Amino acid sequence: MNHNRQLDELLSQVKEKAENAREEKDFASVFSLLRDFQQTAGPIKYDNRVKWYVFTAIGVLGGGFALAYFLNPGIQRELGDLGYAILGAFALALIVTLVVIGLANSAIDEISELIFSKDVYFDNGLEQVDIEGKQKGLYREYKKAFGDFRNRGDEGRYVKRLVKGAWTGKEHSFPYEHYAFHYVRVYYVPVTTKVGKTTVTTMQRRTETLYRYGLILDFPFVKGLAARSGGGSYDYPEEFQPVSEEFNGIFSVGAASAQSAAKFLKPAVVLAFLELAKHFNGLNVEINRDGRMNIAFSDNDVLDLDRKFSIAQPDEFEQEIRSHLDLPKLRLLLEFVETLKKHNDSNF
Amino acid sequence: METGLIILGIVVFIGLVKIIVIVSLRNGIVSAKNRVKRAWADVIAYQRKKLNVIPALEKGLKDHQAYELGVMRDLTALRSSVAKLSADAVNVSQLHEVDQHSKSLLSGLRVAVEAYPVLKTSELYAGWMRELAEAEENIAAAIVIFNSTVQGFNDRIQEFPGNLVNSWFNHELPLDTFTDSAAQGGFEYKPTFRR
Repeated sequence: MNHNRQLDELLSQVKEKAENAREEKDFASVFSLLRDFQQTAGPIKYDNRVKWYVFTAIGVLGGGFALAYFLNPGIQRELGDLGYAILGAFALALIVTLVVIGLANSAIDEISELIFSKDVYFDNGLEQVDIEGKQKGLYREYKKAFGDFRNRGDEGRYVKRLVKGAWTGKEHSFPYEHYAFHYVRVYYVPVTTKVGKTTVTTMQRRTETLYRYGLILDFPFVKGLAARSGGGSYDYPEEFQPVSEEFNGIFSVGAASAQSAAKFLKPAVVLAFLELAKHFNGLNVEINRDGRMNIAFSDNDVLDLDRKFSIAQPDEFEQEIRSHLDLPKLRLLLEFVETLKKHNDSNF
Repeated sequence: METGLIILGIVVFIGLVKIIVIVSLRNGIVSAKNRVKRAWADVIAYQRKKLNVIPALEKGLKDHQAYELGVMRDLTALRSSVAKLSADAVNVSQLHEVDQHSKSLLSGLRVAVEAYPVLKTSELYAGWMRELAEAEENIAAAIVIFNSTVQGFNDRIQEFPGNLVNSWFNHELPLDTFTDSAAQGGFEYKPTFRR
């Protein structure tokens, strides 16, 4: 069996094992497979030599034809536009060959990413929730519960991804959900076209796909309060301004009662908000009247981490997978929640 | 005639704009001063809240026969120095005194706990210490916010054109921020400000 076919077989085995992995330990068999392959069949990399030969052959033939076509008026006359079509075909064949070469090793990256992202979830105690068929229903439920989901977009509104997690802090432990909310904004722009001597201006429909992300969890210590800096629509009648000018420059606070807002926004809590706002865009924090908290923002990298190695380097990649892959922005959010809980969990 | 009216209109318009700017700068200084007062009141409020924990701590120490004279003396000193803080006047030096007594009390408590292991494992004691730590955290945060409002106020009365408006109407003097002299003592470098 040639190298590429052996590699195809290896990758399908590795993919299957990675997909079925339920904990970090399950990746051990993946790495032993990869190491065995390296020792017996060679590097975990597609051999693209034949494809490069084909690419070179097409290039030489195409170049030769172009020279003959442009330097010889006789051939030009004889072939006419067909000559350009042939040149185009050569160019297309070159592009297709390059794309095939480029894509050959993408399967390696794809599987590496699968293993890495699953391990990020394992290391941080995260679990993807199956919301197939419930995505729109979840959006409607969240819209009813939280102001950040209101006044957002015109169509295509649904919860795209839901991930469950649990935080164990020094003083508080709690479960939470991380969501990705998809919505589409529709807008119209004037477009002027010329029809004969007259110009016609029509309004053309454009769409923009946007996302909001957030954490949802229980926060039973305060009810009916929102500190917002990034849109949404909230229904809390009492406005409140803590003493910090910096805080008031970023957030607007609305609450069911000014007293509960004053009690909630202790100085340490105000500083925690300011610190979090340095790392997140469009931050909105709400604790609704049912004591559910939603921390919403526009940052899409809370559950993302950059991968350094791939399955092509089994030893280094295994070390990377074995290390604890911490999600710094998720940690910031959860520590923020713990600070809020700590300062609001007593009547002191 | 018409040109004269236009010139007069321009002069009146510029005059109105000047008045609006001056009034808003003057009011800005007043608001900044009020914010400083509010921030100062927060510092005092959290210092006083800390005192709410102290009776329970006192009782706990006595119950556990961990009656340390030094700790009790620090408790009394802290109580009387917090009582001297007034919400009506910003008094940073008095706040320094409170800070010193707080630090002395906390270190005394730590020593007392080391000497009485029963106290160390007591859940009640852990609860008081947690409350005390939270109160300290809020005091520290209130001081950070107080300092930033003082800075905002000082900028308003010292930067042009606020300094002119202040010298005409408000006559406010720059306020001191609270600095931790013990922490500062750890640095060899000290900036030299000419004014």
